[in-house]
Amino acid sequence: MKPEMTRYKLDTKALTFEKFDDELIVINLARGTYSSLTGGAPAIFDLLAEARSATDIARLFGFDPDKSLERVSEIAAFLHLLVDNGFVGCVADGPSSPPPPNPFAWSEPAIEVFHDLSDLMKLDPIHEVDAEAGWPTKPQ
Amino acid sequence: MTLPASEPVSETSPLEPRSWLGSLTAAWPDQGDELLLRAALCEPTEARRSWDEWKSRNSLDDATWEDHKLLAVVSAQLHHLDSGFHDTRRLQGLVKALWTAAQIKQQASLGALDILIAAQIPVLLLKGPAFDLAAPRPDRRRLSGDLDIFVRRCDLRHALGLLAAQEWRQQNYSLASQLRYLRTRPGINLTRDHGGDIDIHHQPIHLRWMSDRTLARLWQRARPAFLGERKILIPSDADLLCISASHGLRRRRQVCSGAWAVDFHHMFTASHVRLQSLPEIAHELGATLHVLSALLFLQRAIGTPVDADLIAALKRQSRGVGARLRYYVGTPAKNERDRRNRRRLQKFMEARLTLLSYCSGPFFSIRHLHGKAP
Repeated sequence: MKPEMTRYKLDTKALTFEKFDDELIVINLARGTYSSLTGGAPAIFDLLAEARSATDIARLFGFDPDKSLERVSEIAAFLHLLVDNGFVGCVADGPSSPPPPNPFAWSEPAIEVFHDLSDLMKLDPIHEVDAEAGWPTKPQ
Repeated sequence: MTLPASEPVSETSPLEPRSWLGSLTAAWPDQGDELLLRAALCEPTEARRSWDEWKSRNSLDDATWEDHKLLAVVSAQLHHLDSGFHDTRRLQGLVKALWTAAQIKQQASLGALDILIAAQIPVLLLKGPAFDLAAPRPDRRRLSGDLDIFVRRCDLRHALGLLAAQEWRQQNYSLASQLRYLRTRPGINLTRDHGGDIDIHHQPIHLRWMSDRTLARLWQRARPAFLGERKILIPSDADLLCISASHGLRRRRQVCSGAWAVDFHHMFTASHVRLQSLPEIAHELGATLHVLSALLFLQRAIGTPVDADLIAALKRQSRGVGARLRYYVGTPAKNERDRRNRRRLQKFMEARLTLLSYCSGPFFSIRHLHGKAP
């Protein structure tokens, strides 16, 4: 099976997540990581509540997987990042999940991972952060 | 229509001394908290005015932990209130930091629930997390990860023993020394590594000894709920308001905070909440004055739609001397003399509480009170 056809699903056992405007924060308590998902990443994260492949997701963003190979690869690469961070797991082949009622508008998915949550928690969120970016970004 | 923070409650019947109802405001949130509450909860024009006033008098740099909790509620409205706020990113960062800390703490605190549930000890969840289950709000982020739980008096000793065996302990004092004061305090705070933090209560109301019969009725009114897939109980809506009012309208050191008002406002604006029994239950729990004060604050300062009949019923029942003294002890002192008076009164009330608790029968054995266990 092509990698783009591998299906993934959220594995939320160790995850806590919350939307903050357009940003999705995901804490992996088992690994002690804090991740910020922006752009199209929160939408992809939501879609993975059902088992989906990169090809499925590309279709849901309105792309033809046969013509938009670059986009499918980009989504597949992002799904690998989610796997690496323990957010999703591969699932056995099965029936395709139904599409959501509304198509999604595409924007490039981005993820920023902070690997030491305990270090972040020591930062004073008002006084020891970059004033432009806010916690958890340290001042330059 | 809202009143400025300093304006006293003015509606009194001819039989009610103005000073008495007016004195309820002593436990209301301070002016800074009130402005933040209005910014978060009032209609848009008043919300914007209050937010501008808060900004003109305060800075994010000097905000306290109590302010942080309210700023988090305000931040959810920021794009309506003040889309050009210069410190938006820092405020959003603060909210994310508080939320993250709360998740870590709550996850660690849930371990205590697991211990009690495994031992088949019924657990009643109190305060903030119970409000989230009673009147869920998608726009409300709970930023406090500690858990307030209530166990039956007969289970307290077993519960504390189980928790102590799993390294739950008192942070600043030995657990044994704290047990000496357990008769006069509604509960005890326990912490554990990785941020676990619980308050385990045996009495729902400060400085009031409740009979086993009253407590049994509170348990009977409780309803099942799930917290992180754990089956627990939450108080009835009326019990929850009474318990939270008695905890919320109390000074912490010399300050009364306002975070309780957000939960109360949501309860009164949620369509499914039933509060007809509130006056009777408040009377039964000895929380009439605290509930009355909370509702007057909501009605007058925030404009929350509180039923006038409810207020009238609470006023009729709020003549007990004990309730007034408990309310007075929880208000900030104006000066040193005032502080001494409160201290004396509190000591008297604690002595009475100890006596009542001994009259009610065994609670902790001498062995426990002398620090040998749990």
